[in-house]
Amino acid sequence: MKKLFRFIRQLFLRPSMKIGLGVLVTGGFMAGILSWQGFNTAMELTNKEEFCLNCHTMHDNLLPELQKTVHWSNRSGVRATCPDCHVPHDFTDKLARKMQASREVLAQFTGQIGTREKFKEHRLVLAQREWARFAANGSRECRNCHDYKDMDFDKMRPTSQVAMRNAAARDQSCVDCHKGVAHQLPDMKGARNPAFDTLLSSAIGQSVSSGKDYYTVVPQDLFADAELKRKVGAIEVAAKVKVLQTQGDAQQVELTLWRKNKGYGRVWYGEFGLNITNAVLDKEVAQKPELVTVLASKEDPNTGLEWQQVQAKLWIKKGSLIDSVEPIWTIARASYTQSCSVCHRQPLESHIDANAWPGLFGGMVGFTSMDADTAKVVLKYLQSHSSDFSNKPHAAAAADATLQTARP
Amino acid sequence: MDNKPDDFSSEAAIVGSQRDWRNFLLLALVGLPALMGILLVVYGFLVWFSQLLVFGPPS
Repeated sequence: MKKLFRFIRQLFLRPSMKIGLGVLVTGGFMAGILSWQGFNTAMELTNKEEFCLNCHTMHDNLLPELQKTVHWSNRSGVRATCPDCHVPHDFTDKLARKMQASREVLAQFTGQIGTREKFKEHRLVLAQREWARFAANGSRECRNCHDYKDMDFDKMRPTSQVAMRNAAARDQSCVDCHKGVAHQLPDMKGARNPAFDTLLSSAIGQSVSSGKDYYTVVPQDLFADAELKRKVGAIEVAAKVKVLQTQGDAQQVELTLWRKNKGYGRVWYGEFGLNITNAVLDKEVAQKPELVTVLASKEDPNTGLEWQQVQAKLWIKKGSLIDSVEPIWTIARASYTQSCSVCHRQPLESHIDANAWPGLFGGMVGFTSMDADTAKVVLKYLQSHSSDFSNKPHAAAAADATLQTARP
Repeated sequence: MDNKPDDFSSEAAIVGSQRDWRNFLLLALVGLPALMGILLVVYGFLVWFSQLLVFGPPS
């Protein structure tokens, strides 16, 4: 080791005995040019589509998807290749990304997404990383070719024009709306919302006393027995229940809800006359008098349908109740604000009544990237804060506030 | 200063000019390019980790 240090010291400090200064400097200069060019060439070669496609995961899974989109083949013949969108274009960020690629090399050799099934399981995570990257830099890679300033809005379809003019006015990140523009959109249904973890941990720590009301934090199964063997239905999130007793791993809860007296009457609602689903029972069970007690009966003036107030004492797995519904609404409100104000200002919750929200929500949720669980909670939140539950006035000015300023 | 005698045993056999050329080529074609590569890689990793831990993705 000491020899090595001495060698290096002498290499740098001892002057050359025979070779001229000019020769040395010129040689070093040329070697430097060659090295730098070699580095740049290496960066370029690893930045080509053929290089990316060398990994069979990319070739077999993502290339076919890309080939179906406009970024592969289109009328004008101008297309994007893998690095155009996925590798930052400026030097430092590109170099950082190349080093990050060591993780991908490792994954290739350990076969982390080696099969189609493994890839499909993992692709949502991969997609979410890319979406986060695009959100952070305002879709900078898209703007290498596309520019709001150079767009001819008049050539777009009228519906597209409204959305695009708004986006241009806000200089919005392209991928906010155009997810899945070059690859198939991953199945969002199975995604998990990490915000629910905080709810679950507070539910597990919640001390439950009999006779008091609590709210469910997750949708879960309902059972007829304390052993949790006979499943009789399912209860939704944010449903109010009264806890009767706890036995081991199970809790007996009393549901007092409303149902429509038609058919099996197995869909149970939280409020009279409002389609806010709190529980759904199985067909065989919903009519059994030993499980279901009818407390009252009332006709809904809107439809003339008879609604019954019903009660059942059923069992759920313990550890999923909290004493206040507000933490659930806080998460729902955050998701609503985040997902539903990307393209337009989100409507006031109390602007629409509870029975109209499901239709509106169903028509719009497909434009967002909400997973199924979050979507359910947000809809419940919207219904529970709809005009049926609000005293907020709706002046005529409110309608103008939501009017689009952009027109085709 | 040096207390031990310099160990030139391996180098003694090589003539001065040969030693110079060897060192020159080693440095210019191997040592410095490798050093440049290592420094770039280290720089890349530093930027990547700072993006992970401190700054978040580039904006």
